[in-house]
Amino acid sequence: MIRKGQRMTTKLDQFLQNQEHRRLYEQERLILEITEEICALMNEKDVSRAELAQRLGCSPSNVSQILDGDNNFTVRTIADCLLALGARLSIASERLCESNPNVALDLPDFTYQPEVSMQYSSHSQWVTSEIVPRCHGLAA
Amino acid sequence: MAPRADDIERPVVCSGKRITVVAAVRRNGTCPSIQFLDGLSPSDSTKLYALFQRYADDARINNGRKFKRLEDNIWEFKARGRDTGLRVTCYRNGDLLILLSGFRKNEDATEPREVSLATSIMEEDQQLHGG
Repeated sequence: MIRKGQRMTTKLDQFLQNQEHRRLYEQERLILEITEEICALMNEKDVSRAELAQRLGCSPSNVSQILDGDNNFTVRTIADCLLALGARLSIASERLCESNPNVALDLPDFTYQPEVSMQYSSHSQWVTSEIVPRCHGLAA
Repeated sequence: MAPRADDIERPVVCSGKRITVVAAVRRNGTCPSIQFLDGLSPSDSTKLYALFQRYADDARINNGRKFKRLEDNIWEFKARGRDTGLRVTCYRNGDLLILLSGFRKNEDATEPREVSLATSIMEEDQQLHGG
């Protein structure tokens, strides 16, 4: 029975306390980021799976497999998909909080603050990188 | 003795920038969606947790292969587990997304009895918490 006052952390927080779960979660999170970005572009440009398949020179079922995120798609496949949708992927990493790795530290423009970079690189054992896809439309 | 409505609190599954995802608790104290998640292998449950967190941050899932409407207010998250398809039903109430039930499914269409179970849990949850 779940009663008031028993909740301290979320189920996901508890789940991610296990390092192996954490590793699997970051993989799934990244796959989802990418497939969601592709779907958002397809919706925005009103491109169907069949149309995207045609642009990529593959079958619609191949596109479905990509969108399912079940098979490990390659970086090349992602680049091809996005280019077919008039976009490209740019990559950034977020530094995660030591005490709660589900929280990204808010460090704007990390690359251009070397003193901050040094500070955090000295704690490399808890600095985890992740790829944040940001798509930019390409000029036609 | 059956619990009073104000005794039951929904467990928080995850919390994001826009939505908090909680799990419905039945009058008998069981929590079908959590029981389902806890019974999965870590690699399978991770796929669902990642979807929940994504929804919590964006208040939507763009990929219709991962999130689709079953009927009226009831939606389902879809993931492909190692051996079977994984489904978790839910409904939205303001900035809360309430998980209802979970089941394994290989075919795309969800069986009426699963929809019926989700509807029944949703009605019970609405009676307990309003909405």
